[in-house]
Amino acid sequence: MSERSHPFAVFVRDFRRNRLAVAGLVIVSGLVLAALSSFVFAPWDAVASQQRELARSGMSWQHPLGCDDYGRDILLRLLYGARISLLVGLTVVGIGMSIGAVTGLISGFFGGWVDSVLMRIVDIFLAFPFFLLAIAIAGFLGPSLQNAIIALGIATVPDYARLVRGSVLSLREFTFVEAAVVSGAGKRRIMFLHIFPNLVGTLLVYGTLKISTAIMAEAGLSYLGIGAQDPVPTWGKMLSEMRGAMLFHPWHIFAPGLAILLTVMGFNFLGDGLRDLLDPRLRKVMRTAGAGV
Amino acid sequence: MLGVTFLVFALLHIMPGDPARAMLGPEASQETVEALREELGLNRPFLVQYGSWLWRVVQLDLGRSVHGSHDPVTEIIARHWPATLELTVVAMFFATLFGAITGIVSAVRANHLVDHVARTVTFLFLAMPGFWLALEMVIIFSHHLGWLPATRRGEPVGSVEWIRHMVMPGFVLGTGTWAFLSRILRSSMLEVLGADYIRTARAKGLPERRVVFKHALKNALIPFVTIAGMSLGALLGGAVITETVFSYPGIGREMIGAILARDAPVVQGIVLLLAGVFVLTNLAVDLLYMVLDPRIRVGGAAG
Repeated sequence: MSERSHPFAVFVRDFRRNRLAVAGLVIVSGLVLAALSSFVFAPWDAVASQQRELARSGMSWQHPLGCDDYGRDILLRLLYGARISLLVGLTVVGIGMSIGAVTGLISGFFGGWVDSVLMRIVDIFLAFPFFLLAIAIAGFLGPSLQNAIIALGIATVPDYARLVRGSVLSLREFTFVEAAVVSGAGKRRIMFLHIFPNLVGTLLVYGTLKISTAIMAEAGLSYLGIGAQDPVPTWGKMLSEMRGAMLFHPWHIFAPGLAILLTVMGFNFLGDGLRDLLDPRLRKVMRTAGAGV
Repeated sequence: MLGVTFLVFALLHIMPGDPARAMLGPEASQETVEALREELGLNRPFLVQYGSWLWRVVQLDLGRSVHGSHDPVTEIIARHWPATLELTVVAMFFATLFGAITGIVSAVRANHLVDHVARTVTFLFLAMPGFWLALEMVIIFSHHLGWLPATRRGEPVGSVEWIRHMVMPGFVLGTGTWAFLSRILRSSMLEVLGADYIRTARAKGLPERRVVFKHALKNALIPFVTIAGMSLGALLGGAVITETVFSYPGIGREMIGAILARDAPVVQGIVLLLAGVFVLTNLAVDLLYMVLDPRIRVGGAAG
């Protein structure tokens, strides 16, 4: 008989063998480190205060990446941007997932007219292309980082609702649910204690993939001017602010773009890797996709 | 579609700021603002307003811009929509054509060098923000090499100028979809190529070219077509950014301008139009789907 390992140990072993997942984890850890370091090196004063005499200066020892049009250190703003991007990714996914998962859970579990009504509402939202819906909501709410996060969160609700509803419909047919019903468990108990735990893996994978979509879309909104407002340094905002000097200092717009690229790639790798490890059947449902930005 | 109109209208209502105030400017007295609110019907109940708005939409009257010229929204759309349509079609054409090529090559030469390169490149493009790619391309192709114009649109449609203006925006807008489609086609091709009937076709001694293009591709194309249709939404959303970066006079840039100027009727009209186009294409894809896959019939396609 072979030695039995703890399931988590098995997971860790498989994870380490999955090169994609490891690469993703490395990149994401880098992002987290950058975000954490911003608390030490990039206080709000440093990223927001303007020093006119340094405007559009090139690389130097004091300012490794130079300064933007208002004389603010680009490296510090990039680090601060990492913090914001991480915050955006997590909160957007949090909003979308919590509302969407509950909707899908209720819809799939109760069926009948509840399901019909909820799914018609979801259909209405799905009639809008994702990014367009986000632009519309963010535009109507008024430009700010907080509204952009709310808009993106709402715009992703239908995706989670659909996904969870589908999973619940198939889980409902399993014998263990039947057993719970027979043993007299209440509806709420079955829903949250028996069905929901089986969705955690799916949601974890999907959520990870969606973090990259959220970060990319927020960059897009901020670039358009309907996301974060000055002086908040998000990467998308920085790209749009530093366009003016891009011919003198190509590096100034290269850096934030590269930051977005790496971050999105990191979460994509991690999500894909987790998917293959946790639930390879999901390959059909979930694929890495850009936000169309 | 009715639900769509409702959501669009409801969004307008959440929009902060008073349209009457926006039309008259900050100097107008409270009484004039109230009078205009009355005239515009802004004091009536929400559902009544929605009903009368919907009635006007059905008659293709989307109201007027609250700023500057006070042009009818339908006129603004008519002026800018063709440019966006051209851009989206070009991007779509590019994305599907190249998506098909790289997807097939990648699948047929799976795990060879070509495949690895294609997969790396598509992964990069999926993670790349379009507006950043656009800025970098402008630096290289417009400023350093001077090959392509960085802004505006060339006319007339189909002329050399038009093509020169279209290359960069079309490419930038299409890359994400191209990368996505390529990956989809690769995986569905690989799946199909492993199927029994393909082995049969090969065993019959059919040339590989015929096996790949006639037998395998036909089935592998089904997800490709679905995703391509759905990607149109991403393209319409992405066009907003692409147009803004390239100062391309399309409907997306117009919409951003309207949002920043709090010009509700214009935003409303454009969002409604784009959602309508998206819904219609999805419908068309469903129909096309049935042609491609005779196993799916109307009854089974519900949902």
